[in-house]
Amino acid sequence: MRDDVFDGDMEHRLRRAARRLRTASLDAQARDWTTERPDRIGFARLGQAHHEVSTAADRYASPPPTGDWTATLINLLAWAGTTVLILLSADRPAAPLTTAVAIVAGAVAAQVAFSALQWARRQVARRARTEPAAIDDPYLYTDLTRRLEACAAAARAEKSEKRRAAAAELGRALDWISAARE
Amino acid sequence: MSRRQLYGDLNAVRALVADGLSQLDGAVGDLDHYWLNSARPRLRSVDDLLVAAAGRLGGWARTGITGVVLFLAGWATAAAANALGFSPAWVIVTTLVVAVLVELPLRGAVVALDDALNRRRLTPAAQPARAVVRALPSASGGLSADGIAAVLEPLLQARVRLVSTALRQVDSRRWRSPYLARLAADDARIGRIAAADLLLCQAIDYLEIYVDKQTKEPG
Repeated sequence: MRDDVFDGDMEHRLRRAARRLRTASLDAQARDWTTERPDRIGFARLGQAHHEVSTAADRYASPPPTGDWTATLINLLAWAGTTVLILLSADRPAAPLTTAVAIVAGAVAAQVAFSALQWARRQVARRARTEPAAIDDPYLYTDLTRRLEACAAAARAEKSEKRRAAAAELGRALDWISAARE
Repeated sequence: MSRRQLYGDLNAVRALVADGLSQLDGAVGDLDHYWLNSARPRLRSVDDLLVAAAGRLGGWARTGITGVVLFLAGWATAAAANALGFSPAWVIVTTLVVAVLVELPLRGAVVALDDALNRRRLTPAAQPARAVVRALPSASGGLSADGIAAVLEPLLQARVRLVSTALRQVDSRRWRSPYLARLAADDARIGRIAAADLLLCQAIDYLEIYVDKQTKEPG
């Protein structure tokens, strides 16, 4: 993580902050479910802050179709790779049956790749050691507050009215973050 | 875990949420009460998320449906292109373009099919679990302490039941927070239950903030 609060363009700064809020909120929620750290208020407030920050980010650029770029990329590669391989190795690639089979095999390969990725990620999560909760980390709050305040100041100075509205959302997000800290 | 039990649990949670919501709707009329009015849309979305959490079509079922349609479309296109006398390269290009054009709307159609199936499995509209006793508005037009308690009670019950519904979907030897957080991020069903739980907790938090403000500044 880079330390400069003015680093990168607004959208990416906001999306990065939103991702951190979401991770902390999910982590706290899972800890509440296992009663490892029972607290049904904190994660709800962080989730609220995440919502506000991503709404603010959406004002700068339309939301990405997927948040999970790794999975999308692996899906596409598996699909394209399988289809091309079958078409290249076939004797008559333009025969209707061969072309259709190549496309469907691509779809199946993409699903296999996706399932494998999911399985691998779950194995990692299963073996992961329980670390101290992110929601208890005071640095998370100071750092996010600092970054979002910088973003809000920049948003307030924007020329476009739509972007200036992001400042209000960031203000609410800051309120929720400080409320979650209580 | 049997599907029947999952549907039963989800329906029970929906009934409890509908119960709390109808108590709230009965008591709040005006738009002055920010916290109460923020709680309401959240409770409404909880119901949709819980219906979606019944999720009958997994990734493989979706791929199966997509595969059959893509096979038929691809085969028909390639056969037609061959019959029109396209060169082999053009046959392949045309088929791939048609496949992409078919695939995109197909995804939306599969999601719609999934929704329709879910709605059929669960009760059509969540009914309140018990008869609604209209909480009387207090003098200030908001909810009295008793009224809030009547709203909070079913919601807190719903929350407990929702968490146990989620945990029942997971092998009890794996009830550890990193694993559950992963599932909440990438499993369709647990993810939706987690999102519903988040909204429910936000609504409860709002109601408690409202009570707090009421007791601090009466009138």
